[in-house]
Amino acid sequence: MKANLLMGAEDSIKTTTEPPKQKVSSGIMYSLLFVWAAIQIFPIYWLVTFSLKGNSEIFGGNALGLPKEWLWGNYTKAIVNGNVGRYFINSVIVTGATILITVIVSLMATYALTRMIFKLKKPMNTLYMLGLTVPIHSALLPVFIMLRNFKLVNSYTALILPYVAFAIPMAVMIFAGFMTSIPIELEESACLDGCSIYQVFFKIIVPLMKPAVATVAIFTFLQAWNELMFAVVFISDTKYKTLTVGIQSLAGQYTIDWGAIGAGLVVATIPTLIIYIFMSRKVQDSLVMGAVKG
Amino acid sequence: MEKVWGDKKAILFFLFPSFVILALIIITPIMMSSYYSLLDWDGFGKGTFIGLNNYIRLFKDPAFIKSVRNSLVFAFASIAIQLPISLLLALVLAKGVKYERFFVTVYFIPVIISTVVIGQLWMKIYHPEYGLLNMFLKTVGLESVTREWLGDTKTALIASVVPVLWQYIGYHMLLLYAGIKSISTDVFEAAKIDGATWGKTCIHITIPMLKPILKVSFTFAVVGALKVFDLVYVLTRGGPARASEVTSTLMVETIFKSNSYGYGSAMAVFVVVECLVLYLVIGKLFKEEV
Amino acid sequence: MGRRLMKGVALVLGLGMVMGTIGCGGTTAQPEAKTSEPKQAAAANKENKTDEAVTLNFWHIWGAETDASYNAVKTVIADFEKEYPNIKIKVDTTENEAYKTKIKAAAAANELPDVFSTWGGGFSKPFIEAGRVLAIDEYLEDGTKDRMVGGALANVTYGDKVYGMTFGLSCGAFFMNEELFKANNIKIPETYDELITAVKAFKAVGITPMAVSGKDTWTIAMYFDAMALKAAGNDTIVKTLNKEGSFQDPAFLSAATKFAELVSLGAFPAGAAGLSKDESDIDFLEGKIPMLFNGSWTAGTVYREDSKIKDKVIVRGFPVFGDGKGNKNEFTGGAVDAIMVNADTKHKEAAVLFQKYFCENMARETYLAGAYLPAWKVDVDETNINPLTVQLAELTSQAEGFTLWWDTLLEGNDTQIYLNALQELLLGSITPEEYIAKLETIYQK
Repeated sequence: MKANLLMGAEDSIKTTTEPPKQKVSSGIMYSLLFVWAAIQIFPIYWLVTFSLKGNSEIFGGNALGLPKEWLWGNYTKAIVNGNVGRYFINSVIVTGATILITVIVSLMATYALTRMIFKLKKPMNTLYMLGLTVPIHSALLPVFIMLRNFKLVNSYTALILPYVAFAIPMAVMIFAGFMTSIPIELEESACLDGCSIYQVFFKIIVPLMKPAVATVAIFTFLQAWNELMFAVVFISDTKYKTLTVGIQSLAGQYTIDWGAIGAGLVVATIPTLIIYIFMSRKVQDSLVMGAVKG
Repeated sequence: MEKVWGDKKAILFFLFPSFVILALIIITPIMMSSYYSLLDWDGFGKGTFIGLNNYIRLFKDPAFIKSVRNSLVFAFASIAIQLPISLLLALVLAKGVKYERFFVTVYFIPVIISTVVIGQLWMKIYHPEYGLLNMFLKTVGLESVTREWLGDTKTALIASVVPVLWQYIGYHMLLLYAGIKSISTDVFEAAKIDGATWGKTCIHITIPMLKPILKVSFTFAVVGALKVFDLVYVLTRGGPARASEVTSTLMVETIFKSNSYGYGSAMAVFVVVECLVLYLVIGKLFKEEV
Repeated sequence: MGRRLMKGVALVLGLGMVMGTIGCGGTTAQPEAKTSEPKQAAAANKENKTDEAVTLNFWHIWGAETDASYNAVKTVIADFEKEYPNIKIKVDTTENEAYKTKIKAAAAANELPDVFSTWGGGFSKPFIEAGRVLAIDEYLEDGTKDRMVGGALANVTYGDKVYGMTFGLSCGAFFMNEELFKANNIKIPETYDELITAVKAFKAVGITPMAVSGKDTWTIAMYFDAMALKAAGNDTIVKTLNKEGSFQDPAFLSAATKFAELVSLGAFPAGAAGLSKDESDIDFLEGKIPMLFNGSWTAGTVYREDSKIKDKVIVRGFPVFGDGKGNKNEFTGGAVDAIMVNADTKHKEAAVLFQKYFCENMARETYLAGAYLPAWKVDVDETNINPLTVQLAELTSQAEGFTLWWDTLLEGNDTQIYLNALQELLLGSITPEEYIAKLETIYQK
């Protein structure tokens, strides 16, 4: 991989031919891009209008149009009855800690698993991957029993720990994909300059991994922010409940007020959107950074 | 360098924190599930050890076999349809189109919307009476094609595959997009100077260099498809008459509704092994091609 | 083991008594009136009262404001804490479906709270077999039993011991939009033949007659449970589901054939197999579909503020079969929602005290709220109750008994066999004979 990269760079220096004007039928391409954008944006429109309707509009004929009657009260219901204020903060704490821990421990692990040399490297890699394969529903009871044995049920840790554990395999895989593309030469020269392995990791690898970190952060955020089953079972104290649980609790035994649930979901989706826009910028900006470093 | 990379203490330092977490929350539960899978156990009280009987029962259970087949349909469709679209989008966006930021943001939206909402949306699209799909078919004169998409055993599976694929196109797009973005720009400039067209650059330079990330995307797509649950549950609950049953929906029914914890654990172990095998196959495929 | 106890039919004498107490003056559902009666009931337990401060953890499922029981639970708990200031109730609520997972996981890991809501019959049976639930017989002999209606304990009695208490009763009932019947000159059906006539008549004018959700399979079971009951009668059903008979009994085939007849007549909406309950209910609630057979709680939904069919709906039992053994005074349902106490609780006395207080007062409060029919003998003014609930109470006051819903009576695995087979029958992908053969597999294990 790295050889490819360097050779490509060398070839480029030799050739000096002018690039021919690319005649892209950009009109067609842009219209396709915009059509696809309209399709992808539709769920947001749908969610917002959903949150302003009552059951009879949602399940009756007016499923897709604008609300006939704008039920702003759905938001009051969601925020008050869903205890959104408190649960929102809990979700932020749990998700924030999950992302932070996941990124740090996975970056460290990835470095050992891709670069370093030791006997059990291959089986270790497979072992990390194993986490990806575990069906979450079958893990519910075993994880619950583990948490109980460590007296962790009903705490932030009861959620952070499993969320991190289930995010590590994903993070390690993504990081490994990115790390293998980093040319070894950078590290070698740093080593010759007398850097320790830890310095190499923190000063050279970590900064180069920014687009990967942003990607992993987004994916981890999604996992932790939306998780429901663990959050329901491991927490039975209002103090630690998360937003998704609060929204779910709006559903009654026999009647579900879908509009209020939609309103709760809008509230829950806004931060996701913000985090995503913020993080995907980091991915885009890395283009410039990569050019400077590479 | 090898000496530096062989530093045992450093290896321990890098691996220790994540390994402890994995051992507690992933490895131990897998071992517990493997043990449960050898029991006839309702999840409460004491189980009876029955050896491999649960596994024997698995391969005789038509519902289970059907669910495995359906899950593989998801995996196949994911590789054959979803990933190519994601890759194309990533390539187009990464080459630097106008409004790049806008597109990258918007294309990811379905991923961040709660599955419950996406499910409700598609139920509206498929609704037999006022659903978009049937209305569209009627308008273009294809009334004979209209059907009860989610309520018909012939179409329930495909009708649940489409939303799942669609929802996660943005996910893979972002992953691949970030992968392309982290390839040094020098390479692309060089190709440009060489006079290579965009298409050629993609095939000869971008995609080969993207291989490590493509492998990640492949793995996520396959494993994700084999474990798919949420959206299928919302859309069809695996029905009607198990037409869209996937392994996860059947496992959840077995564990939580039928209280057959031992048998359900055998399904879970099967899924782990199935994913692992396909993961190794993907690894082989990607290695040989290099 | 433990099967026999469910054999008995729940004889509900109490409902008659409820009806007998109408007109006890202007006592409306106001807080002052509420506390007066339970006080004497609680007095008997006062000697159990200890002075040390106790906190009881209580899990339940009525935490959503859309629930008719929501305010009732709050009131009852607040009243209890006022009455017993040294006992604090720490409540945790979870959504119904998620709660089933949660309570099972908690029972498996031995992490149950002191007091919890659950369901009688097959659902809680594994908990009892695993020794997780406190038997409360000794606490019932102080006259508590006499204050309940007959059959209130039937579904929480396992192996001759009582493990829980119930507060309310639900039953399957036919909700019919009278306006639609009248507008189309169709007679409200009393017999199966009349039902068929009505179905055909509605079809003829382009109206889908009955709502059902094939995706939420328990809604199909609502229909079939009732039809099997009309065909076979309570005794045969209970015997067969307790694995002491056989589904080969011709009555079951008769019920299945009739169900298949309804399907083939197009009685249910097109694509019903793919519709969720929310989707299928809406046409009934919008006044487009005239008939819905579902639980008595539907009365609450019909009278929701945004309802379009208030005052248009009447309630009936399932039409009787000319060739059936069941009569019109047999109903599906029973007192199923139950409160149980953790066998390992540190505060047995306090927990049982709360359990009793909660159930007795919930019986009254949830009846007033139109959520349940009371499983305790209550004395209330009915003028403010949802008229459909009052109608239901009248209808069931003649009840000879209630036959528990199959998916509650049967244990998990058998329930799934039943519901999956029924879904296929609704789809028309299996014949009634094949359906019976699938049910018979319940006997194989």
